[in-house]
Order: sequence, then structure tokens, then C-alpha cells
Amino acid sequence: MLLQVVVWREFKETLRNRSLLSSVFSVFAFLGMLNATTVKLPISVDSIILYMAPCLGIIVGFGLSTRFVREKQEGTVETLLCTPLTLRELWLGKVVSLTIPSHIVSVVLTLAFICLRGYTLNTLMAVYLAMVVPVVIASTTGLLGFLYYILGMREVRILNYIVFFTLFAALYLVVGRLTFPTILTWCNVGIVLALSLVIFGITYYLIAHLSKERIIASIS
Amino acid sequence: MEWVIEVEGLVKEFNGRRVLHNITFHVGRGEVFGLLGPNGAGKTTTIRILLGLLEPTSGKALVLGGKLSENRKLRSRVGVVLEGDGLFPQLTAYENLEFYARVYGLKSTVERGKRIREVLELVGLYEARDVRVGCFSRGMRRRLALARALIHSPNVLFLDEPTLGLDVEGQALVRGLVTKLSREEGVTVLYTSHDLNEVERVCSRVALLVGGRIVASGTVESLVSEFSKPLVEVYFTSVGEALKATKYVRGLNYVVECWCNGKSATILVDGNSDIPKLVDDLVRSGFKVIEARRVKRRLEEVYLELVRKS
Repeated sequence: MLLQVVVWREFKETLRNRSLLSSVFSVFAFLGMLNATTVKLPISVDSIILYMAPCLGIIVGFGLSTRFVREKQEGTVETLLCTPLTLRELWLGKVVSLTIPSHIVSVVLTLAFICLRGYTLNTLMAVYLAMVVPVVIASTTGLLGFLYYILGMREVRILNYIVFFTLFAALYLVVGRLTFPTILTWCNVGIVLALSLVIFGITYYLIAHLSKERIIASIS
Repeated sequence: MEWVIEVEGLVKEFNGRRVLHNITFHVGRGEVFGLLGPNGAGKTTTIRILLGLLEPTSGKALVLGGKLSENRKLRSRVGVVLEGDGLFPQLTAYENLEFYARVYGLKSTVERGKRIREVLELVGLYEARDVRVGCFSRGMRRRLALARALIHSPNVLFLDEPTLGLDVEGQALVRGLVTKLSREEGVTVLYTSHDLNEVERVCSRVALLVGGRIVASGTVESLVSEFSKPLVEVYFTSVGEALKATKYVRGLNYVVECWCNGKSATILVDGNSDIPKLVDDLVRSGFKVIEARRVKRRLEEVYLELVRKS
């Protein structure tokens, strides 16, 4: 019940936040450029689905996850921790509300790109996009949120640089792999799902055992 | 007396550095208790421990008989205004309060709407209910933070500098509200502020924290009489007379300090019994005393004196 309240509030905030718009625009511009530069090259649709879709979702999620930091900086998290809400509910509410728009943006843009290139989806691709990609995004934003909670403000800035450059490098590698034939199989879909679930599970466990003192101490 | 807030032998260390030294105080139902002290004295740390945001190194810090960190139900009976306003800038004032009302368990939409209207009117923000908080001024946000803290009609209120950034009207509003809540509804309030005039007007009892230790506690009146020496203002017929008298009283062994202000002299004496002695000595020495009046000492003077000593 309380989780629902948090998710609803987070949703409203996310939709009114300009960072959603700027994340969508960046991803859109990237895909536009990618399409223009690779128009004459044969691109593996499996690679787009397997690598590109989660990558785009993570980029949007990363853009939105700054809300974890802002709430800490403004002291809002301190007030929230004095309410009947638990830390896990706060974290989960944020993760869910960041994952849904990030997932929608990544799927819509990936599908638009695929349609533009004249490819079609099979069942496995649809399952992967609908069920695995949101888990990947949730595990990444969840882990980021956890790190934002425990790290001090200076460390958060360093983390943001690391994540930004990692995403940049990952995109570079993904683009390089797009022309290689990759086959999306139930096996590699299962591996991605299992890995994401493990990361999410560990973070879920850690957040429940995280003391409020750790968060408060990292603010000042 | 049944204590709503109990702090006993509270010690807090950060990385081996002790910031609270064996703090003890109790606050009863309907009391407004002021926690005073300079920056870094340990006021916010004490409040954070009571709210369950920090764990004490040793000692007891209970609110409504339990630890807030371990009890969700107890947390729903406590309202807080901390340094951060705890508001969401993308949401309107109404949406902010609605979120907190739901978190605190106000389930019915009608009940919620009624209560939100009540608290918004109480802080004078009903007209701005549909404005996003991001567009609010500092003072308006502070008022809304107070409304947020009151949304669930709490039994205990923790107000950490609630008037920070408020205009004179806003400060009066907060003072009035706190007094009304404690007297009429029996709400217990733990109040911190750097404005000592405000504390003097609002708080029934205060504790002065310096360097993590309570150096004085009690009612404002008892602190003023216990820790400050009597101050007497004596009026003379002329400036010359006042100057001469100032010189004379400086030689008296029970006079601590003396200043001349035109036709009057302000004299700090050791104890209450020295006041008639002073007037007597002045008259006997031939000074024409028109009037001698005891000056009421303010909490601020006592505070500064105690902080300086500590």
C-alpha cells in the first residue's frame, strides 16, 4: 500500500521532470545518427535487441536516477525516513518509477529503429524486450540508487563520471558489434535475466540491511 | 509525570570523536521544550537520535516510550520539520500534503481533503495549493513544511529551526501555532532555534547544550534568575552626578561591573541582597538618586554568559 503511494508520487515527479525529456532527446538523437551513418550497412537485428535496447534504457534510467542524489542533497530523504516508510519501500518505489518510463522509451525507440530498417520481431525478441529489458534496467538503476544512498556527495560525483564514461564505452562497443551476426537464443536471454535478477536480489537484500545512519552520515 | 520524550545518559561518537556527553532530559505531555546552543553543540544530533536517524553510542533516547527507529506505528505519531523542508518541488502544495497524508495513513479521500484544507489554511497557503512547490519562496516552503508536519495531527513535534527564512509575520504564525498546539491539544514539542527571544516566548523549559554537554536546564525564568547577576539602573539629577557615582560604585566590593549612560548608571551587582545596599551606599555618600530600577535580564544575556564560560 505504502509502496503504491511512493510509486505514484515518483511517477508524477518523473513525468514533470525535464531530465526525462532531455534523456529521451539524447537517445533519440543517438539513434537518428546511428541510422544515418549505418544506412548502407547490414545490421544484425538480434544485436540491436540484445545490446542496444537495455543500453538505451540504462541511459534514460541513469539520467533519471539523479533524483536519488537530489533528495539527499535537499534533505528530503531525512524527512522521509522519519515517516512510517521504510528505506526499502523508498528505494523500491523509486526503482519502479524510474524503470517504467526508461523501459517504455527504450522499447519504443528500438522498435522504431527496427521498423525503419524494415526488420520484424520474433517471439523471443518480443519476450526479451517486454520482460528481460525492464529487469536489466531495474537492476542497474537499483544498484545505482543504492550506491547513491551510501556514498558521500564527492564520491557520487566520481561515480557519475565513471557511469557516464562506462555507458559511452558500452555504446561504442555495441555500435561496433551491430554489424556482426549475433543470434538471440533462449540461453543468452536466460543468462542476461539471471544476472540481472542476481544483481537486483543482492541490492534488495543490502538495502534492507542498510542503516539510516549510513545515509545521514553521507549527507553531511 | 508521564514523559513523552526521555533522554538518559545519551552518548554519541563519530569515528571515536565524542559529540554528545551523557545528555539527560525529559519532556512531558504538552510541553514545549527548547534545545539551545551554538552551532555544532549537538542539537541536531540529539534530534536525529531521537528520530531514529542515528544510533546512540550508549544511553537511552525514547519517544512515546519506544525507539522510533524500530517502530513504524510510533513514527506515524510524530511530526518533523528539519533543516530540509522534505518537500517535492515538482508537485503542488496540495499534492505534497496528499502524499504525506497517505503515507501517514489518512485513507479516506474526503478526510484527507478536509485535513489538507485545514492545515493549508492554518499556515496561510490555501490560495497557493495548486502552485508547484518549486515556485515557492523560502518562507512559503517553510510554512508548507510546518503544514506537512501537522497533516496527521501528531502527538509529538520536532521542530529544528522552524522559523528559519520566515518573515516577521511567519515567525509570529509559527509561535502562535506551537503555543496553541501544546496548550489546547497537548502536543509535545521539541524546539530548536537560534532566536532566543522566540524561544523565550514559546518554550516552557529549555536546555542549553554547549560542546555536546547540557550546561544549564530549567524554565526560562529559573535560568535567568539562577545564572544571571542582578542588574540595576540608577538615575541621577545630572550627567556629572552619574559620572561621579559610576566612579564611586566601581570601588564597592559587591559591584561586578558599571557603565554610565547619560544621567543614569547601569550597575551589575553580585546578588539580590546587594541592591538595597547599593542604593543605601549611594544615598549615604551624598548622591542624589532619583530612581533605582532593577533591569529584567533576557535569556539571550544568560545564554551568551553561559556559552562564554563553557
